[in-house]
Amino acid sequence: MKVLTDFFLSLRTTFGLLLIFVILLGIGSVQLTGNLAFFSGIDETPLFQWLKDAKDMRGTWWIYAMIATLTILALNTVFCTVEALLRRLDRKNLILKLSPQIMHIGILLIMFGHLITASIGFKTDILLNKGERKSVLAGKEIFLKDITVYTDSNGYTTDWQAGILWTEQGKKSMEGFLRPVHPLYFGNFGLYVKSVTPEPEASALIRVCSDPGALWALLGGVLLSAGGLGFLYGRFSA
Amino acid sequence: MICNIGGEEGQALLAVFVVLIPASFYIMGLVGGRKGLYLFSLGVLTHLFSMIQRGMVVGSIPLTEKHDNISFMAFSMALTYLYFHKKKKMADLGVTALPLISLSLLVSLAYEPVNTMSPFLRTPWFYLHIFLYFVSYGFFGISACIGLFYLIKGEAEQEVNQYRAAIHGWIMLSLSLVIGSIWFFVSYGTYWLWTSKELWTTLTWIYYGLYLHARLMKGLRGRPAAALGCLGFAIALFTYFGVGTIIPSPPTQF
Repeated sequence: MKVLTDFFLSLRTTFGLLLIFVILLGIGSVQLTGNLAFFSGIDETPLFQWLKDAKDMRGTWWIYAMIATLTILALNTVFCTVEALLRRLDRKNLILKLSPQIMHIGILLIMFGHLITASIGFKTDILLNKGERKSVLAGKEIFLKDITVYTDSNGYTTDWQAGILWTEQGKKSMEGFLRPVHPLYFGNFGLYVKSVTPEPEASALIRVCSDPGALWALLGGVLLSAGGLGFLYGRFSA
Repeated sequence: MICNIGGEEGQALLAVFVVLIPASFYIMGLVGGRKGLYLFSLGVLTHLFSMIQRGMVVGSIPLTEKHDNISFMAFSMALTYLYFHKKKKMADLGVTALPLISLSLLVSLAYEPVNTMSPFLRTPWFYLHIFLYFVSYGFFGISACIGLFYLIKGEAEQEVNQYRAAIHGWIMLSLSLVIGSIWFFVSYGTYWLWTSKELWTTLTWIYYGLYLHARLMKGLRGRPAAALGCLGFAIALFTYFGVGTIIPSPPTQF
C-alpha cells in the first residue's frame, strides 16, 4: 500500500507521465496527418464510440495510451492535491497559498469534462433548403425559414444568418436567427449555422449538438484561470 | 523608377518600412546603456505605431493572421524584455533578447498581410484568445533568452527569472486556451478537435507544465531544468510555424 501511495504522491511520477503524454501527443499528430481518411469521423462521434467502431489498434493505440496515461495522471493529481491541501490548511492567506491546488482541481474538472464528452453526446450536421423541414431526433424537427447573406463592396461575404424554427412533438419550441458565433441553445441542444449558400437554391448547413461535458470543462477552465491569476498575484505582487 | 505612393506598390513599401524601422531600433538597443535603452524604446514606439497602422487598414484589432500575430508576438517580447531590463536590472539580457525580438519582427514580413476576416473570428472571445496566446509567447521567448543567459553564466538569480517569465507565460497560455475553447464552442459547438494544431498546442502547454515540475525535482533543478525551459520555446515556435507546414493540419471545416 505504501509503495502505491508513494508512487502516486511522487513528483517523479508526474514528470514521467507528463513526458509520456508529450511524446504521445507528438506521435498522435503524425498518425493523424498520416491517415486523414481513417480519422475523418473522429470529431463527429463521441470518442469512445468512434474507438469502438474503428476497431484498428494499429491506428488508435496512441489514443488508448493517452487515456491510460491521463487516468494515472488524474490519480497522481488527486493524491498530490489532497496531500497539499491537508498540509497547507493551517496557513494564512489560504486562497493565495492554495492557488496551485485550485489550478490542479480545474485541470481535473477539464479532464472530467473531456471524459463525459468522449462518452456521451450528440452531434449532427443537417443541410436544409429554404422552406424545408427535417427531423433531428425522434419528435424533434428543424425548419429553415429564411436566409440572409451580407457582402461588402467587393462582393466578399462578411456575414450571414439563418432564420430557424425548432419543434418538438409538432409544437413550436423555439424560433430565432442563427449567425456565426451566435448560436441558439434550447434545453440540452445547441444550434449553429456552419455555412449558407444563397443560390441556385438557398440552403444552410446547420449543426445540432449536445455536449454534457462542456459545462464541466468550462467550470474547470474557470478554476484553472482563477487559480492561475491568484498564483501570479500571490507570488509576484509583493 | 518612381513608385505610386497611393497605389498598391506604395502600400507594400509602407508595410515593409513600418516593420524595418522598429526592427532596426530594437537591434540598435545593443549599444547598451542609457542610449541603448532610448533606442530600444523608440523601437517600441514605432512598433506600436505600425500595429495601429495595420489596425486602421483592417478596421479592427490586428491579430487575426500570421503577419499581425508575429508582429504582436515581437511586441509582447519587447515589453517583457523591457520589464526584466528595468525591474530586474538585467541590462545584459539584450545580447540574447534583442536579436530575437528584431528577427521575430522581420519574420512577419515573410507573410503577406491579409485584410479580410471570417465572421467566425469577429468576437471578443477570439481576440482575447489570440491576444493572450501571443502574450504567452512573448514571455516564453524572454524566458528562453534568460535561460540561455543562465546556462552560460550560471547566476542563480537568472534561473529564478527564467522561471518567473515561464510561469507568467504558462498561465497566460492557460487563460488563452480556456478562452479559445469558449470561442470554439460558441462558433463550432465543440471545445476540442482532433487536429495536429490542437495536439501541438496542448503539447506546448503540457511541456511547459513538465518544465515547471522539473524545476522542483532533485536532480533536475538548475541547469537541466533551465535547458528544458529553453527547449520549450523551440517547441512553442514549432507549434506556430511548423504545424500546418512541416506537419500538415487541415484548416477547421467551418
